[in-house]
Amino acid sequence: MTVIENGAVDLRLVPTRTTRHEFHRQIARLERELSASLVSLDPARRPLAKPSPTAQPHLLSDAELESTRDALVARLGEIEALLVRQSADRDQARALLKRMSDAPAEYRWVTVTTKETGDEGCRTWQSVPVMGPVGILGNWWRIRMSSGCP
Amino acid sequence: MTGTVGIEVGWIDHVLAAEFPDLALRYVVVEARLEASPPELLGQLADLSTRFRGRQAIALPTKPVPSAYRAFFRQIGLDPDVHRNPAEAVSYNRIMRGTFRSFNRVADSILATIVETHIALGALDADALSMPLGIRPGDDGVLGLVDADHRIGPLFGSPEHPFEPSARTEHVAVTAVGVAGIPSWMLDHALWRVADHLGFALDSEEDPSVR
Repeated sequence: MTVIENGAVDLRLVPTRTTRHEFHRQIARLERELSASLVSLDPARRPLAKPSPTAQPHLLSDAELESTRDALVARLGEIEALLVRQSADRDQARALLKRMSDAPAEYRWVTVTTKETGDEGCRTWQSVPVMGPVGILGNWWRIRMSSGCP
Repeated sequence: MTGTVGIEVGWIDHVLAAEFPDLALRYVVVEARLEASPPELLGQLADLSTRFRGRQAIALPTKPVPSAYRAFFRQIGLDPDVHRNPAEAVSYNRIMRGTFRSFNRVADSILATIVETHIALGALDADALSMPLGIRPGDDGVLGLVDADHRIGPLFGSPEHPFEPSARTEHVAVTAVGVAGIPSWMLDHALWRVADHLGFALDSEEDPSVR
């Protein structure tokens, strides 16, 4: 609360119920967006939550509401950056698989998985020699796709 | 064990109600003991275990009800990824243990209903309580579930010792906490489901919100 000349209070700066409800609304919206973003992110890429086991449910002060909102914005930004990185990595894996399929001999023993391409299932593609040692000697390679999930 | 019981509306402290107009507490008191679950309830738990997969657990935070609790947890200073709401907590345990483990009829009824409805339900030893139940901040500022005389435990936390159902419990109070984004009929529906599992019929003629 800011006191201006003559002891009057600048009402524009007084935290009101409306302001707190607006913080609540923003926090709820950010939390929804964060959850939606996290679902799209590979669990292995998710940043770990910082444990705060001593936290107890309480009415947040205006400053706490503001810092909760800002922390959510920062976390959302962090997740968005990870999603961009994930998308780039997946594009790279798909491009590698395409190149492997076109020229298996140039990618000997290289493996690409559905986890890397972001596709459903648990298949694996690997460049392997046809007929084992014969393929190695004759430089005859092919892409073998695994049978799927165990 | 059969009978008809009614849903009670818990009171909300006026400061809390002004801050969170949609915060709601409903509860029902039924005669129940911590006995072994009947075969049909065990079968239902096994069926829920089979149908619940990792993909559902991952998508759970985006579902309307868990999402509403997650937002509320943030608004009261809890990190929903650390302090899981009941629906996410049971799904986490299912993934870690590979099954929905059976404890007793009361716990299993609540577990099955949480999996089905995602509503935050809890059980209390009704014989240790002085009705009515409510939600208010304690002297330490912690939001808690209270009765007329005692603080029962923190909101969404475990009840303190005398209020936790035990082997001597004869009556159980099943509570449902609602927050913004969760209509009250969903709380009533969850309580009806628990009552069904416990062999009771809830009086659906009486609308507890009209008082």
